[in-house]
Amino acid sequence: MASNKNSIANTLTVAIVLCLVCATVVCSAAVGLRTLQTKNKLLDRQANILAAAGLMEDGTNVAETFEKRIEDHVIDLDTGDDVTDKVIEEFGSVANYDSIELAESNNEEYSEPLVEDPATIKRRENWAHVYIVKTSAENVKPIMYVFPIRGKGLWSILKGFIALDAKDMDTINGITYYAHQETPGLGGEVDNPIWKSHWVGKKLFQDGSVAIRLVKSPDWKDNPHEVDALSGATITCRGVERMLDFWMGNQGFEKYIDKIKTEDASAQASIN
Amino acid sequence: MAGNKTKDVLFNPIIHNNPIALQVLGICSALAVTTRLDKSLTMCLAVIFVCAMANASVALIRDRIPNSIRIIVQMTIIASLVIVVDQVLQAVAYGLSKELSVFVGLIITNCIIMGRAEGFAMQNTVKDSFIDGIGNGLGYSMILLVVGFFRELFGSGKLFGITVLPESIYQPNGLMLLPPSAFFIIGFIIWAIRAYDRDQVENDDSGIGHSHAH
Repeated sequence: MASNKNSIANTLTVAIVLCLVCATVVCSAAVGLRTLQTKNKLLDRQANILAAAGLMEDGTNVAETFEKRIEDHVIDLDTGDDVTDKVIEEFGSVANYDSIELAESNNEEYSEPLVEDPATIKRRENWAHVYIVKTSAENVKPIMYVFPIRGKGLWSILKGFIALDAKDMDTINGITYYAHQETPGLGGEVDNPIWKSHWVGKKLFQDGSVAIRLVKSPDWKDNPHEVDALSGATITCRGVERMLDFWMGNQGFEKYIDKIKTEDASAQASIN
Repeated sequence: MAGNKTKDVLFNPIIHNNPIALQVLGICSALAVTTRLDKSLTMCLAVIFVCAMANASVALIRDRIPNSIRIIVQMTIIASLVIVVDQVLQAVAYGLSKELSVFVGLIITNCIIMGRAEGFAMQNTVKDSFIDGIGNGLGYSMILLVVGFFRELFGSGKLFGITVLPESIYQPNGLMLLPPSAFFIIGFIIWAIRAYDRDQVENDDSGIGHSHAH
């Protein structure tokens, strides 16, 4: 038996058959479980949007709360216009429009390659989701806007949400990351609730551009534009800064935010 | 190893030949996931499953595996099983799978599983290997659950997320939520096991200290 077992023919046979069997098992598991996983990922994303807006507590029913308090809109990043109706026409529903997936799969129609790419995401979708947080199901006055953000950290693209208070479109109400592969304990500390709480009340903009910086200085608490950096996670922190620079700058939501501010100003003016 | 009674194969690894406490294998995940009992339990079930199935699979083809690719074959089987576990976790317990993050994938590197595949499954029947896998998984689980119990209870006053020691009675000890506390607790467990089972105490060959007290 020994010589037969160690022959080249047997070695190749075992290797090939093993790979085929393992590949089949792994793929079947992945494909068979995909629907369940997609459902979970969607629910998780909704939970993260609620968390960024400060609406998540122990026992919150995610689907219900999301339905009641959040309006999912899609906006054109180049003009700042609301294109939600167009999306419903072309995709059936807003929920069916996965902007990030379209960008990551190099879709020519709905995304473009980036020339200036500070967040190293390579392509940017033309239309992006914006989640408008209402006071309640009946009162449609926005109290917060939640923006999806993403950018490269050290090992991965971090994907998350940042919530801006509607009163000035400058005060940060929360930040969360729902997907990343940063090192646990280092870059992975972006998930630490204490670190996330540091962002609440900080001001995003100064003189029209993104001013948030993650710093080592002990005075970060007093500075409205500074957040405590993560020890041992320099590159992840730079990634967080750069993704905010990008998504809150002129290649991101800047035009939309300016539109909101102008509309609010004229609404105020007409009241006065 | 031929002729092991099934009962011994199953129960030995729990106290007499515990993979963590005697063989001191598989510690890394024990440190990381035992901050809460639900994470610990999920990890235990994952390791029992992978260890048993990997052992059984390796034993099934043990006569056909050529020596030149022996280790890689074992690795491929273990890795495939871990990927399946990861996929299942993402489908049925998404929140937990995110909490466990890389540590489910790191089961592949858990020395216990590779150690049993190479050290037991290559020389034993499918049935014995499967039981051995469960036994070692149970040994690993026992340590994880004990460590998880103390860390969650004294680190956050809860068990399985349910508050047992409210903050009015007990101020949670933050040290228990950091990895070093797992080291200390494992050390105490090893001490306790060796006080109960003298055979596990190693001979002091180094000549440095006194021979262990009796």
